[in-house]
Amino acid sequence: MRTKAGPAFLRPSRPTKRRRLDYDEFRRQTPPRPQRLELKEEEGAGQPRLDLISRLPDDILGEVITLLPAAEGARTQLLSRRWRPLWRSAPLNLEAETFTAAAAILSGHRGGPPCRRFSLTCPSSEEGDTRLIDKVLRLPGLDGLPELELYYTPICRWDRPQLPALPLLFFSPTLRVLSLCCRHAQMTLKGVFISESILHGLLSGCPVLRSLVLMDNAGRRHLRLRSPTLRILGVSDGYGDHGGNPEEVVVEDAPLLERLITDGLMCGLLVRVVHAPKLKIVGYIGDGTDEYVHNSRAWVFKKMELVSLPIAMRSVKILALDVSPDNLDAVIDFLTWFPCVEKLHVVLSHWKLKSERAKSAAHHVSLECLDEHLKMLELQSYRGSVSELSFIRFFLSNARVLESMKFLLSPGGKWGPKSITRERKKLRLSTRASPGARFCFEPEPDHRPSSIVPIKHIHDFALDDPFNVVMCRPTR
Amino acid sequence: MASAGSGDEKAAAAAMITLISSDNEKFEVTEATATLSQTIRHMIEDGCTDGGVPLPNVTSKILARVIEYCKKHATAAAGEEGSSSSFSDAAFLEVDRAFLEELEEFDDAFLEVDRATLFDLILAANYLDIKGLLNLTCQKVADSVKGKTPEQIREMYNIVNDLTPEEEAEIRRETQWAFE
Repeated sequence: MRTKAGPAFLRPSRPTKRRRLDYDEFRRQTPPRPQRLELKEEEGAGQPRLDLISRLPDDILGEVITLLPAAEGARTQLLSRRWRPLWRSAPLNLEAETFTAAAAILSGHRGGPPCRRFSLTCPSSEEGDTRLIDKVLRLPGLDGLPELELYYTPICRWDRPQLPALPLLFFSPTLRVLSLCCRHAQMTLKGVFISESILHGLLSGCPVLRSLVLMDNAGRRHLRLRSPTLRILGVSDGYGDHGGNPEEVVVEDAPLLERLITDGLMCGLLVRVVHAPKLKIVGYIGDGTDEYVHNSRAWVFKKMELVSLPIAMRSVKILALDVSPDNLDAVIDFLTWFPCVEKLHVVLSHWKLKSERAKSAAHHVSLECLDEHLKMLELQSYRGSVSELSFIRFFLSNARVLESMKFLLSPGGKWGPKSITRERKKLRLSTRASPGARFCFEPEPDHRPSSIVPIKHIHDFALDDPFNVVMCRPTR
Repeated sequence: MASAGSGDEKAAAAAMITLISSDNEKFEVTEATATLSQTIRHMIEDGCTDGGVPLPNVTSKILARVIEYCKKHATAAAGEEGSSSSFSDAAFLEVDRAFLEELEEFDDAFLEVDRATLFDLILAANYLDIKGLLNLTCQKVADSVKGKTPEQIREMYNIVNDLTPEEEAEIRRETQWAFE
């Protein structure tokens, strides 16, 4: 009965037993030799069917299965006897939306290799039940977990789930990528409550952690980070209502930290960097919504004047800012603090403008960054407004080694070849300190808020420049 | 003079590797292209590529495609290094973008093959240990399976269901959550 369900060429004259022999033969071949000869005999039975997936060895079928979400992967057990054990022997790609579902999947995968990636979206109804989280994270399938994502969706702002410390520590020796995020349903919501002791314990218990993203997490205490292995840190303060008590993340000692990625830090989260000598990529830093005050709120380098920090800041090559187009002073400060920046991304945040009146463009300064290093400037959300003029003229007349300036045209404007020619004239692009500079006008891809780097890109060490908007196309 | 000349020739020849397919066709490739394959990289490191590298598991048709992939991705890797370290090209942003898009288009077009060829490419990528190509091709297979019922997958890939109804019921019972 069963064999009749099979494809035409395998059905008739050939006894099932014989076929199984060929089939077992396939399995033994690693690497399998070309199968063409054996398959040729099938051609007589009608259409040549050469696309037998069975030619692939088990470990490759396992590679395919591990790319599938857990449920689809598990359903491949039903394909045939050969496929049945494969799912269990392939690392699990576990995405679950409830603890119960996660627990069921893990227990179904019992005996298999550990999970490759565990992405858990904690539904609001279950979030308070820390015992359940504890239970799930302690399941044996999560031993040796390399990638963990926890998403929280709280319904009530006071209902901050406490992140379970112990279970995380349980598999933290192998954790390489960790995201703790709160998915906002509303602007006033906050995410996971992390106490310093938990984060501290987590980091000291993660000897291989290289990438950490803390997004929209609440906790009124200061978080201090020390990690000998961390290379990427993403911090976001979301839309927090911090009740006048700014939270603080202090990078106390991160000898390997290369990337510090934030979302503009406009809600009062304080990030202090004390020791991160390899910091290369920093942004987005904002100029604050209220008054811009040096050394406070927006970005603090502790003991900035002291000897150790200039070294740290000279290491930064790529910088991303989110500033009001009339706040040139802030930009000059940033370029003074980061004198070796080669690529500068600037989001022009028009909503921060106090008035549309243009300031004078009389700035002529000598900054090491502009004299010797700045090669590329990318302006996001360019509108062609009066307020942007002095901002851009500043770079044109001071950036002596500039090679390219890119204008990403705000989707709000009506852009055409004529208006771009007009912009070029208005900006007097031909008068510039760097004769070799090239200019490029491009429509802005409007699929993300400008100063937010997608989590995926934060974690992706292969991206040379996580702020490169062009890279941020929707995934296929 | 003569010895210096032969030395140069030797250096030029050393940068090229000859790959020999199962049907005895010879392919000359640069070392940069060939070393995308970890298998070949190890052979080069061990100095056993003189007289060509025989690849008895790979036909000339498939080897030609694999080399096409490696060539493209080897130039890509070289180009990437150049642009990010030196910033020498004034329009590197545009280059970056053009280059990324081109590579993506290349990969998409590269995967436009019948399934038999796709499986041959997977086997070759596995044997030659070319991680990028293996990921790319396995993803293609995974994508083709996504959202399909077991029946549809069997039909698509000529998989014969040799499970007894009892075994099937057992699987459904064990992983009930996957069938809900």
